[in-house]
Amino acid sequence: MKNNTHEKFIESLKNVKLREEARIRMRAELSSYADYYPAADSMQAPSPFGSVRTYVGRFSYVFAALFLVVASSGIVLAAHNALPGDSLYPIKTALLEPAEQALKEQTTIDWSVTLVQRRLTEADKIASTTKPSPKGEAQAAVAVADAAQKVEKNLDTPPSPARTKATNAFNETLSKHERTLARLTAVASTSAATGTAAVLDKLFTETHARVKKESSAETSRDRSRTQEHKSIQIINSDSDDRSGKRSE
Amino acid sequence: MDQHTIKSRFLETYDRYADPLYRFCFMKTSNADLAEDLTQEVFMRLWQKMREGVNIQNEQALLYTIARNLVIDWYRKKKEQSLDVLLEKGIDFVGEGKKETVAFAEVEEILGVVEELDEPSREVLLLRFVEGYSPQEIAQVCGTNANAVSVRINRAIKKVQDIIRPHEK
Repeated sequence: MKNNTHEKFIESLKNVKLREEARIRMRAELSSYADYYPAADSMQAPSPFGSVRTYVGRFSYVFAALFLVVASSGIVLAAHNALPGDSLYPIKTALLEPAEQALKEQTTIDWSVTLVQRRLTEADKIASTTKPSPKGEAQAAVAVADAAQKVEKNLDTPPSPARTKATNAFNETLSKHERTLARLTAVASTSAATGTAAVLDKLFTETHARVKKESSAETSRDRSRTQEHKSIQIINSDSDDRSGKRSE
Repeated sequence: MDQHTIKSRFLETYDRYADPLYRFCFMKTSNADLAEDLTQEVFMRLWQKMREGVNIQNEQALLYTIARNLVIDWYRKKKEQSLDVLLEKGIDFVGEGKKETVAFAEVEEILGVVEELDEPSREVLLLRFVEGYSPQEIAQVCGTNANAVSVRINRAIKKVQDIIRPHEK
């Protein structure tokens, strides 16, 4: 380093900054983090949505009735279509979906699989937009990981036909959204949300292995069928030859 | 205070301190990716304090204290990476246009000096001359007094000069 003074060194230090895309991404992830862990005071303050999680379980029939009364409202429709990152999304997950569950005749385990399907579909919708929102993707990653963990918890029961059916439905859902899982794992991995990243990484790894196994089993079956078909053709052609010779 | 207000303040703090904290973490660890992760972790911990309603009297001092503690934790768990590994990985820095080669060469020079400095010198140089904090503010961040900081600053400048111009010793 010739002809450098300590001032030039210090000036060079000032160029050490976060890359612009890293700065934007980090801000979006921190914003999602702040939404996911809301301020303690805001949770205690009287709010139509503040204590929903606490009361919904006990008064689900009340919320079911509320849902019916408000069903004609446009807010319900807007909230129903809300995606992670939208301001109405918490209404969808904390109010509308629990009310919907109370009205449906679905078991807890089946409902939890339905929710995973929804979370994955929402993640796909965000990704398909022209400019996917980093906040939306980050929240979608958290939502999918949470929903999947709930399913796994519900599946942690003694074997039964219901459990087998739910397991198959869950695995099928994950297989259909293998790419979504890969993308969400990458989103979570680039952030400090190590818990979410770990859950999604495990889901993706298991799904990928299962899809690969099923795919190679299918290829093997196809090869066997092709071989079988060829063998039949050979046998048929042999027997045609013999019958042709006899007629001569 | 409601969620919206606290969150707004939190994001304002992020906008103001993201780069300075990143520089701090980078100076401490010599690793750009790690510095990024640590910076994010600092703000996540800040949010946890803000959401709990902790009375934060000196935000700046708190942020640097959290950052320093995280770096200490990292040093305890991991081995320090060598300059060669860093150069091999390549470091992406903000520069004007696409002057990546020049920026990279600058980084190599910066790291060359940083590697030879002791921990307290790195810290005070960054905080005083890059972030522009006064000796009093640095004293609060470092948990010492302003006089000790001033002495440290002068010694750090001398060390950098000795490293850059060894023939003038």
